[in-house]
Amino acid sequence: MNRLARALLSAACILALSKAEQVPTAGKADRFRVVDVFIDTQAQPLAAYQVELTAPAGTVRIVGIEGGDPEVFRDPPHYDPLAMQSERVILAAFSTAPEARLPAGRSRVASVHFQVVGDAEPSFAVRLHVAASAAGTRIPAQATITPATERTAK
Amino acid sequence: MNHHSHNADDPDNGSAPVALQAALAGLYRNRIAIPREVDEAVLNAARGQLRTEPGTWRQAVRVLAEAGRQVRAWLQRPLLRWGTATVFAVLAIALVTLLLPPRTPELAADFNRDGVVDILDALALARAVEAGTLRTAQFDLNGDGVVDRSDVDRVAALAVSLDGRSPL
Amino acid sequence: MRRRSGTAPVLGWAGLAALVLALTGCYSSVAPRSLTAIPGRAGAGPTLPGSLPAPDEELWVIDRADSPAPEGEPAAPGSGTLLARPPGEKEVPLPLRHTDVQASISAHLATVRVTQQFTNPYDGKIEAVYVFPLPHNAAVHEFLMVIGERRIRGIIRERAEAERLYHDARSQGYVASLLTQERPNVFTQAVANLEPGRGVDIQLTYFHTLAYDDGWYEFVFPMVVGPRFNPPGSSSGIGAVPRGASGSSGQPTDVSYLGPGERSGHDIALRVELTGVPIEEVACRTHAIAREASATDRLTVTLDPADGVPNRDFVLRYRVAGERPKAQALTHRDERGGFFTLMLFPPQLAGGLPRQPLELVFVLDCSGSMSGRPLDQAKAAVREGLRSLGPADTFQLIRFSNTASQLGPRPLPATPEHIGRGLEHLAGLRSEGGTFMLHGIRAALDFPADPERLRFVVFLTDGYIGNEVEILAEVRQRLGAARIFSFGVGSAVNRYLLEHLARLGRGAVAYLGLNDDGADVMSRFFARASQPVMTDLTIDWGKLGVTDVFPERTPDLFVGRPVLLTGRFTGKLPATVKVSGRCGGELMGFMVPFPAETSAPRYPALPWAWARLKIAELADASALDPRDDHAGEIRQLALDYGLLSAFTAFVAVDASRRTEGEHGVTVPVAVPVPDGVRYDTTVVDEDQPARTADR
Repeated sequence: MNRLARALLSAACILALSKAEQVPTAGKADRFRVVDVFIDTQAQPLAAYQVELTAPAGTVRIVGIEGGDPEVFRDPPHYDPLAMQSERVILAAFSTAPEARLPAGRSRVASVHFQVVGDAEPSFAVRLHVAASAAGTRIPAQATITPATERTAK
Repeated sequence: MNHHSHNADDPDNGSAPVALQAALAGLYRNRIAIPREVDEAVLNAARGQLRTEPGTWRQAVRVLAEAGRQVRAWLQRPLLRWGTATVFAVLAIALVTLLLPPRTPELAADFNRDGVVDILDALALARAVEAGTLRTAQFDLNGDGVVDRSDVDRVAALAVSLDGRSPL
Repeated sequence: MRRRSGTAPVLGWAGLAALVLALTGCYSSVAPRSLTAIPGRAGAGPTLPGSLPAPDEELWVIDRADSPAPEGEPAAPGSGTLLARPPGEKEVPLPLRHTDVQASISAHLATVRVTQQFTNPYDGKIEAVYVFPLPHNAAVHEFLMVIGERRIRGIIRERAEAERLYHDARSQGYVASLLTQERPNVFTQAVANLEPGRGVDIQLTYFHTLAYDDGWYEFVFPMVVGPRFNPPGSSSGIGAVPRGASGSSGQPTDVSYLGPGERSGHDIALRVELTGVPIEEVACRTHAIAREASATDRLTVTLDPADGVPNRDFVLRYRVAGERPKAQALTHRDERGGFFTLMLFPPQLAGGLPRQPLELVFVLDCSGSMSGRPLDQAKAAVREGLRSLGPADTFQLIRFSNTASQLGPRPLPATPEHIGRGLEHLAGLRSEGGTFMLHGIRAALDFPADPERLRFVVFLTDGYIGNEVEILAEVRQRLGAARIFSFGVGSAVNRYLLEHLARLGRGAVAYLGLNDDGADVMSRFFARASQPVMTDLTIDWGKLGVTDVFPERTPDLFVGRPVLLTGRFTGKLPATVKVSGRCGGELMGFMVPFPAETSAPRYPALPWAWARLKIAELADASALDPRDDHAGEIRQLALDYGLLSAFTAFVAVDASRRTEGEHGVTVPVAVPVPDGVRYDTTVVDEDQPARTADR
């Protein structure tokens, strides 16, 4: 293979895999589960985020996309409805609210409700595409997912 | 413009701008025969890059520079002729054409001009809409005559699309 | 809480349970139980059980098969417009508290967001099931479940898979919701595991195109499904049952109706925003409205809160200021390709030509559901029709209910004597029995064609039947050269059936509400029928690549009523396309301008409108010809465009929390019979077979 093509392919692979984080979900007792998507910006207010979630093929069926805890991210994030036919989904949301109303630190920005298919232990990978400040500039942040704890209706 | 005779042994039958020809003549001293595989590899790599991220001039320059480096490795052979230069010119033009950003909704949605359509474009456009600072109808993505929240939603929809197709 | 071990035996039990669930059906798996209504809860916000005093606590049983029919209050018309509540009316606590409708209209496209607020007014957990109508061309593309402050977006999936996911979630105690389509204009919303005192809001969004008629655009929001009649042997219809008798109709879908003297706390709020064009005139004959113009091209119409009983269609008509509309094209191009809607109006020239003599066949639905005001309205319209006939016309008068009969063995010349005879016959018609529409169709179409006259068949009916597919198939088979004009008579008619009849019959549809002037509606029909029709329309698209144009069979072009064609295109848009057709035997043509692509407004809703039309067209083809199975194609198209269809459904599950205990009983949301419709002649009551047979 040509060196140029090899270099480009390698770069693409590295880019795709570098930030992927494997997080297993909780035990396999219940058939329906939720994973919460958190973004930690340390002290900086978060105005926008975009993350990508993937699961191994055939292990989950998504049954709902939920908004987050901060008021500005309470509406369900944008996603591609066609993603529901696969196990990959990009979630993104933003807020133009004043900085004082934006969440800082670690916040649950979204949740994905799904049904576990079969007995296999499902696992999601999350990759942060971007997090941004109120000024629209990229800020360092970390995206994590955790199995949800039971929530009471508010 | 120079003209060249055509014969069975000479595949070079085109022409190039004088300045480009002169530059290439100074650069390449030997005749080269570029294997078909090189052309294809360069084009495929360019296309691959184009698919990964929308084309930009920077990418075009990067790919062309890399192509030049590749070609130099082949310059261990006989004399360079004008026709060969023409091949390069055509190749360069083809690559540039290939990498020129087409006028698609994806690029129209690249509000912050960073070469990628993501949620930051939606945020920036939403802020501009709220502030009323937009001077152009360029971001009237749904073409209803105004730039408003529905255009912002369309940018966001493009940002999360898995295949570059807007769900909106 | 049950926990799965993941071992094979457990899977086996799960499979068995799933099989049992599948065999017993969605809503019949619940053991009959009693529920106590929490006093004062109906129509109130979600408060905790027991938080209110209980001086008048009532116990009522939600129990499909075994419950007695409601005690017989005297037969009365439907609950009607409750601007003032009749004294002595009993409020029945039901799990649907309120519906909020927000519509935004631009050009001829409406975007409508409907929020249904469910709440549990009982002391036990329930599953709420609500059968409700939407416009038959609604492209439902968004679904949201709101629990308190939490908002969960639902997912579109293949219907069988969505139903399975919903049943799994329901049986495991999760709050879940499922939206399915039973007919293009009838839907079922189910919400599982609603705990006492809790509420769940369901928000759905759809697009649809508006009808245009004689200078008026018409926005319709249907509020109630009328009670349908299903002929004996029919097993795929929509049943009409008294409250508490859900599942007793023998049909896969039931609508439960409130009895005479009963009302629910469910009310409706509705707001329509008209934007983009200056509005000259707005009219609403069905409801009391308030209007507010915030700009010359922005008008807001709000339903009067005192008129919020959802027992009839909301019909808003508006006229756009300026010149009479001209043929035009709307286009939209995105990553999926190009989409267009071509709006064709007949050329001005067509107005001056004489019309062909008519053979006019009036077909009058005299079934029990037409009893009272609807039949009076229909008779008024036919009277006007008979008086409007010309000397060269002929006519026939057919009535149907359990059987069909007609004025004479063949159409009569429209002499004064014959018209007098027709009027006398008309006056003697009474409503009773079932809606055996097939009899009427056969009687209207099964006699030899008159080569001298154009046969117009005028159907006057509420369309309250459950076997639409059978009816449409029969029409297609027997139509011949006849044109069908359907008149929907009543306050909440089956618009899907009526519009399909007219479309199949290359005619037109008109609606005759209870507050309309029947003579006026028929007179307008005659004014139109007296104008020449442009037939055999063809379009020269030039170099434009055009595919998938719907409707596939281009309708005839009548004065005052445009033909809308929606399709896909590839290539550069032309400046114009040429439309040709025959008018009074002559070949005529006119040009339709296309907007320049660079400056044209785009209409993002067009792809959905197109997809919905294609789905409807494929569904029709499948239903009308069993050999023509398009289920797979419909399913894929609906999934590609994220649309609800007969083969796709929206499901949402709140998997964050399991509610405690069994999933509770299923409570159908009982609705009032439509305004002007009698409960005793329409709603099936299996404990009183004689009354049922009377339909």
